Amino acid sequence: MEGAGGGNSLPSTSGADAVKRRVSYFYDPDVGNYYYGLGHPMKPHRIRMTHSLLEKYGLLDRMKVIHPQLARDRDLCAFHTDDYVAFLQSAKPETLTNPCVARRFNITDDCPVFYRLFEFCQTYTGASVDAAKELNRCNADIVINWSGGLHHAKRSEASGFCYVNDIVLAILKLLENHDVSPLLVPSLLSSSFHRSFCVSVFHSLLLICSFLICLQRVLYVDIDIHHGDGVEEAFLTTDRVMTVSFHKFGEYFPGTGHILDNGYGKGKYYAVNVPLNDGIDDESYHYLFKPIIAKVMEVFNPDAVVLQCGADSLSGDRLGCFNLSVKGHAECVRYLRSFNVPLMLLGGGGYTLRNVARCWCYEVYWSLHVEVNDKMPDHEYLGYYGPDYNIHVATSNMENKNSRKSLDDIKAKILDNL
Amino acid sequence: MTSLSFCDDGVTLDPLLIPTEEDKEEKKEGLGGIFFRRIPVASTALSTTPEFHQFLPIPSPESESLPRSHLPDASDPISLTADEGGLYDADVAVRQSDERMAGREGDASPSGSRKTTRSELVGMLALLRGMAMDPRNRSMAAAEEEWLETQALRARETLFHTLDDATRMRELPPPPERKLRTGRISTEGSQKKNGGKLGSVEVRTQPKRRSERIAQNANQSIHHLRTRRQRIGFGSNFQADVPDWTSPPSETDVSNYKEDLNTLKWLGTQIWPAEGDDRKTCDLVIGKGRLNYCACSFPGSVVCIRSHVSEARLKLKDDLGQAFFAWGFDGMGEEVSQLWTKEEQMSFDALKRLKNESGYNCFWEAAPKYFISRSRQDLINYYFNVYLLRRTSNQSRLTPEHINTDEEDNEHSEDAKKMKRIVIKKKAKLMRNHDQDSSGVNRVKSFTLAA
Repeated sequence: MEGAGGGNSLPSTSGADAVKRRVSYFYDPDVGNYYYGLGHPMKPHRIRMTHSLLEKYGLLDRMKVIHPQLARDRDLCAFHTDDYVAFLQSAKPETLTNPCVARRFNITDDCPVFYRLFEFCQTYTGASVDAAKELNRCNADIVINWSGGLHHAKRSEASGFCYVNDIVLAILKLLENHDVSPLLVPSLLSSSFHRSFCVSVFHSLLLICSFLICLQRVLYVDIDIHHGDGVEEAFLTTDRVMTVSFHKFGEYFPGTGHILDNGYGKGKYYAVNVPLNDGIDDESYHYLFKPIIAKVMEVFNPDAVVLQCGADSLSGDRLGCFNLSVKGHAECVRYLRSFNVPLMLLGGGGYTLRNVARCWCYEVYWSLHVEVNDKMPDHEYLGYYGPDYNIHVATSNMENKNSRKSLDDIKAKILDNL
Repeated sequence: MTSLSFCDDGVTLDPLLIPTEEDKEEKKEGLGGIFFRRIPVASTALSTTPEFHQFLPIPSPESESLPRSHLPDASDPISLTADEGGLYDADVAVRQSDERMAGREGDASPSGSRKTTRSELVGMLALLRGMAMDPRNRSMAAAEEEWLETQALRARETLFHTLDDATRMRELPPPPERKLRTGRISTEGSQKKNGGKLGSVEVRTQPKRRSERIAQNANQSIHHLRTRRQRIGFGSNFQADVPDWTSPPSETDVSNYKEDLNTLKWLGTQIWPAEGDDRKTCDLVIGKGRLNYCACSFPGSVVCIRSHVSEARLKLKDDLGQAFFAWGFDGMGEEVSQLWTKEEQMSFDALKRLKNESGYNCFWEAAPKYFISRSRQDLINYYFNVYLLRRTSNQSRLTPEHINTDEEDNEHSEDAKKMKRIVIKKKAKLMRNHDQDSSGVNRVKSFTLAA
């Protein structure tokens, strides 16, 4: 779509699904080789598995596939503090001996210093920021970075397996003003001497006008089972970013995300938290998701949407306790896609490798809106998906602790606030 | 539910300064009542710093009414004139404060030193103001003057407590060389001007870097950083610097931005579609899965799967061309084992088994020593692409209801031991079924060794 600043059309769900979207997909082949350590549930290898599956399904042929740039440390300092970035840059497993420093930046078993940690941060952050730039330039309708979505990282500390908050940096990139006035000057200055007067006049004109590309409002939706605290905290006091998080609440990491937390100051009512209980299934989830998102889109009218697709809300996740199927999870993507607003899909949680790859692959299908066979094709990692080799994940018979009444209460409160 | 304690400039309030119910009771009795009535009016005129207001309790309606009855000149307690700029009758206040101070000292104070300190601060402030209005007034007793001096000095020390002092007090090493003067100056506007990169607090030597200011602020709350924070942080240490919205761009602005060479440089490299690749995507079949049947002797067996995967891989290499290598497909899947000798593969499996069974959790510390010629990346690559893949493939056949790609947790549990017994029984059955395919049997053996 052209003119990212003006694309604020409201949803027309009937015809919007069928409209083709231009999709750009960001992938660094080295990402699968990063390793948090023995026993750590977060395994970047799942991104490689997803990539392989996408390729064999033929989906990469329908997208622009981009090898992203590594984020520079000054890119990270757009949100994170200098000392924290310097720490990440210099941290190595064998040299981390000062417990005070570790404590200060929350380096724990959850967030260990592993081999090539900073490169890993640069990789996934660079991809998210490049994806934001792609949206800014209106080169794509949907951009995807499955290595991103690490939503717990704070300004100067790591948290919940996250070190650098690529989501905040990507949203800041979407919101920032881009001054491009000097760009034409070098070519003009190279002109011959007798035209130098015209050049200097034009140069001064350029300096007077500053060319700005800007998205006014960005909506952030988080369907990871954990509350998106890092992103909510970063944008707590602004009305340019609305954060909506659906998560398990109650004796669960990170402990924040109460229904009454809705921002502060200028950002009051610009944070929405939907607390859920164990075992929620597709039907109950969408009973809340669709009306809330519909109301948010109507009220907030964003220029772009960033969706964190944490796959730990799937059934059978190693750390999660929801009961969503791949179809139910992907339905969130399909629903947001139908609003025809520039969309960024990011990864996040997801600790049962084969289910993560299935889920994210299926969500790419929905981005492209193509039909896919349930049986997955032969590919390098087929062995992970036995014995059925099916793309879908069967839900379990776990008890859904979210009663219809509690869901109604939640829905009423949220819609009221909106 | 998040609870935030802060004052207007976003700095977290010291909990000691937040008025409690006991304090409010104390206020009702004594001199403090005058202040509750007068300070809100006087404060608008007087140029007190915000910090002083921290010391002043919040006026309550009850306390406002009570002191009036105690005052001898209660009919019009505040005489504010434009000339005086809203200053009250200091003499009256001072005399009254004397009475109140004398009265209060005789009162029993069951709640202890904290309550007394609060009232003393209020009284001290009144006396200071009186002195400022009329320095020649020496109506105070010597003891009182001495008390006032002590209190005033303590208050000044606390109010202008610098972050440098905080740094020295804390266990973290102080920030390097630059001594930066801190003021409680709002830096938000200046930060935006500077592009959010540098703090704008006045400094002697150089502009203060945001990190050091935040680090020094963090020093004061070092104890909270240790525990799991369960509330959303508020303040400049936590929120991002979001730029303000300006007017929407024009068409020329958009096209100029798209051609900006600087931005182009940092957009990443497009790998697909490859340059010069003009094949029509509609010719390709999208979304096709594997067939439910094949012509192999034992469909679904390890050998069957492996042959189909190899075939698909060759086709992929042909389709993608250079992108096959750019995307790292040459380093994916069981093909990675081709880069390892048979002995190395068996050593890897044996080492993994040894480290797991012994309960010694340092496979990754030991592995580089055993495989000196292999880099850490090679080891991790082999682990995910070969070892874990074979193990999961094996599990999906032997124990399909208990597939676990995170084997590190389960090696020593009772369930794991039970699983091993099931695996052995099923392995025997599997071997009977596959005895005709000798290569298949060998593969199965190697898998069970790995499990």
